[in-house]
Amino acid sequence: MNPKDSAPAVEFRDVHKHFGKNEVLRGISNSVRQGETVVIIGPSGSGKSTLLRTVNRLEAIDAGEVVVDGISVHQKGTDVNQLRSHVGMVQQSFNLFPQMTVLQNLTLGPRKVKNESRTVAEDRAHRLLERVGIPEKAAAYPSHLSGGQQQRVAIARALAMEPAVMLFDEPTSALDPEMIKEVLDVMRDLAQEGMTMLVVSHEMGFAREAADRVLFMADGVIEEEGPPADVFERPKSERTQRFLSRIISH
Amino acid sequence: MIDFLRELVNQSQLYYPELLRGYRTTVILSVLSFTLAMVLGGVVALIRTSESRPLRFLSGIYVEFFRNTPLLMQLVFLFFGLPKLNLPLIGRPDWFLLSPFKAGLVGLTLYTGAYTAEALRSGLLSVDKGQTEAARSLGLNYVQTRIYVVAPQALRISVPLLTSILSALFRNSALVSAIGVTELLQTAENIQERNFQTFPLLTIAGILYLTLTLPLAYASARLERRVARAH
Repeated sequence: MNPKDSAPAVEFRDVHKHFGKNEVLRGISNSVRQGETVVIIGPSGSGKSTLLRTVNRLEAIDAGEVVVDGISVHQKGTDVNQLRSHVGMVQQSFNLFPQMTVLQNLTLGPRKVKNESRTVAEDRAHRLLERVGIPEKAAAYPSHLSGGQQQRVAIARALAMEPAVMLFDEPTSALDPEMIKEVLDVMRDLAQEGMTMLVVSHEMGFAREAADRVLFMADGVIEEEGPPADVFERPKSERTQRFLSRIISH
Repeated sequence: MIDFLRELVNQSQLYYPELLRGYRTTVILSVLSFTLAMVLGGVVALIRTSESRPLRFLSGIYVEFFRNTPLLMQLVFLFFGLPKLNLPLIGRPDWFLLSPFKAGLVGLTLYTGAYTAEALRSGLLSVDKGQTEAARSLGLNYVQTRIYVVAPQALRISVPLLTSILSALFRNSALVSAIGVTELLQTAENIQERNFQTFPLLTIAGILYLTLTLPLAYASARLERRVARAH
């Protein structure tokens, strides 16, 4: 067996982080296997997004270690651009580049970071647009797309770097309800194809179906974790029970 | 009134080659220094919004100095004062500042650059932070992110402001007449010294300035509406 297959894709080792006096991550330890889809749930302010953002160093940490593919993310000598080029990220507010066409959004990273030729980058971009279901939008500008389409382009843009890990930070929170499904469908396909995914989301339906494992975070710690069936049907911690009952009651 | 209008036509007919030469100098001087001021202002704006505190401080000094002292004083200093300081290279009397046109060009560029820097800086600051994060997440480095992602958006936001800076530059360029550049206003001045038709000639010069600034004012108002709609 390839040793890389057995190594965890992402590993958190006693990660601590505070903003001022407010400690948002209080000793997080966990590891995500290659090909695993992990959904992080929890009340707002619990540190979910912050934890996700430590993986590609958008957020610095105060103590502990985050390891991605064997590379210690926060160590001084780590080439952060090199690291980020194989950690894809999709954010809540899409953040497509408005002055570029969809195609240019997808090729900027490969061309500037990996020095790919235009043809290679564009071929892949077209294939990815096909995969997320909007091949006809290559020449469109982001402002002419619906929210759901924009988020699918954002996913394709991240995939264009051929990342080893994909991070999703509340990818459907800014979408109108009728567009949530088209984005979740793309994510579900990705998970099935074996992409390693870390997803912060309030979509319990998605977590239940697509996640291999669910982490419930509260107050900067992982309060409970396990397969979705266990966490959702038989939560052990009282806080998880309270959180789930509040979410499901509406 | 009729006499005045007749004199306007008369003076225009008599002196249009000379007046147009002055007009041309004004346009060339303004367009050239605006182009240079855009480059200078772009660099300064990038530095002023960078992560380096000492560089931010130095660029701040430049901007505040040139925005908060009279342009006329800056021009006079550049042309008459600097050669007297006997500085190496730039202060030597035989160096480029000897030519009034070049001194005017440098002076207008330095002055206008302080304004374009501020316009572009506010543009840079108003680009959403998520854009930077998205670009950095792809692996683009700091400089690539600013050049390919942030700067083009900042430029677009700054266009209405930049238009009014160019308009101000057309009007400010009249001040280089004080250091001996025969631009539009100085041309009118020269002619009236010979024939004492001061007001008709000033009026003609004024109309010629308006042909430069009015289209800009119109464009600026339109662009402002367009940017407002896009947001």
